[in-house]
Amino acid sequence: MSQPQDYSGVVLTTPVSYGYAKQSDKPAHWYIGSVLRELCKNAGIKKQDVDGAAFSSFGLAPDSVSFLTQHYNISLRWLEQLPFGGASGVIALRRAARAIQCGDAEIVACIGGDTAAKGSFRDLVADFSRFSNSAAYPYGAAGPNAPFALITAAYMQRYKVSREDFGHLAVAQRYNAQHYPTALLGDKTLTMQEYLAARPIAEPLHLFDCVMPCAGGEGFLVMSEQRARDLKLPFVTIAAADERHNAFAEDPIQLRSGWSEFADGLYQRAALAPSDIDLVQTYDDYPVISALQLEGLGFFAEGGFSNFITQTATTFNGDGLPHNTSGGQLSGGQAGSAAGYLGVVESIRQLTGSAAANQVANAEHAMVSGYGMINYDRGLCSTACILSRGS
Amino acid sequence: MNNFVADTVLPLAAEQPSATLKLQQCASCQAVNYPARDLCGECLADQLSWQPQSGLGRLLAVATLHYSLEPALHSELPITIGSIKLAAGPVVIAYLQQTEVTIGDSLEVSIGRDSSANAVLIATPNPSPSKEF
Repeated sequence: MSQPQDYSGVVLTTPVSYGYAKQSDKPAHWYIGSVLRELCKNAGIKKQDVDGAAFSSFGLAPDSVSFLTQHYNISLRWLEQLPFGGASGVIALRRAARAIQCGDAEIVACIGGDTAAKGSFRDLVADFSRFSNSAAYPYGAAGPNAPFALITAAYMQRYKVSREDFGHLAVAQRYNAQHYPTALLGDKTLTMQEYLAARPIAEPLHLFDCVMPCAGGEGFLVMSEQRARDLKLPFVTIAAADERHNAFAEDPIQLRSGWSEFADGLYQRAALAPSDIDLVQTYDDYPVISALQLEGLGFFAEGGFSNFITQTATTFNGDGLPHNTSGGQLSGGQAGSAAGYLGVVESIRQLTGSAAANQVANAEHAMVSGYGMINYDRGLCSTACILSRGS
Repeated sequence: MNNFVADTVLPLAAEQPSATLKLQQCASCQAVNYPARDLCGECLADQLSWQPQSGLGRLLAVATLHYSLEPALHSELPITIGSIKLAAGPVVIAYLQQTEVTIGDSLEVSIGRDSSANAVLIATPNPSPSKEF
């Protein structure tokens, strides 16, 4: 298999997280436009300087991203609509980096945004895909909780993982959220006792295994390193990035995905090993999915989650492996497609030293992992990238 | 009365309460397809038709739902569903009629009706365990 070329000369800057709310009457267009405004303001550029954009949202219908150019009165020469849910952020930076390298655009805004009106989550999952509509949703209408409860049950049985093991991950993320001002659940503590005593939702999943749908936007800018230096913007570089769609299709239940396939090449191209990674952001729609990503990306051997999580501090300041340093979705809320950009945005903050009280000390390399789009029984898209502090 | 309309596209005649399992099969490569497709997911031939299949399979995972997005299903909770690898090939999600089950159990899947009369897959314990998958 051919290896992707490097991303030299391209940087990511200007992390923006905006407008997180448990409910909102604003449409997705408002969230994406607000992030675009903040990106331009924070980068010290005019919106006319943005000549490329990659947008992700579940809430634009009947519009497509082409219509957004008129909403925001912007004229672009490069535009992508990336409907990859939790995999969208890494895919956005991969696509945008090539556009910069090839001269198709000079400044690309990558933005995920979604809203959360009353009933909108049910409407989204009740008509999510043709496979889901005919073969998953009819069986109890539990939305994504159902396939993820099944994956969690199989993973717990196969690898002797307990609820308490998943609890360590969730409790550490809540601690991180308490140090990130806009995390929606950051004002509430979560103890192991509270985690274990939570009401069942879709057993083996209980309340604190399930994300809270919310509204919000996340975005960053992609440009040449020279342009970032001219604008005096702190930046990060892309050491390596990869993606897979429908990996290991023959597995009867999803206990691994594309990460297992591309991790070796990812580290090789970055000339780094898992032990060189200072912080990790996984797509945590459910704790088991974070476990699949950490395992697939080599932070422990197959089946080693229980050992790993009981022996490794995953808080931002625990001298272990800082994980989901802003609280992730489990403690910050799942803002639709913005959740697919959250890990990239938080990593740019961490690596440029602009995080809040949750700043990881001396972070040089971050792994960001993405996962998205449950069509039927599993998420189909898996992505990851290694980002490095700009020198 | 609340009703939950779900179009599973499973073949079950209006007057029938249940039927043995039928799934789409490809006349070109014989692959059994599920969920329902527009052409064969293996060889991409336009040769799919609904054919009788063995309902025998192995339980991969079980989940007990305490929450549903459909008001019509609230009185049914908790609902037990399972993921089953069929001997015929595909993995199906089905209602489990018996809730005392263990991963690895041998089950038989057939077509039945839910409380809103939608045609759905229902798994019961394998009646003849000697015919194990």
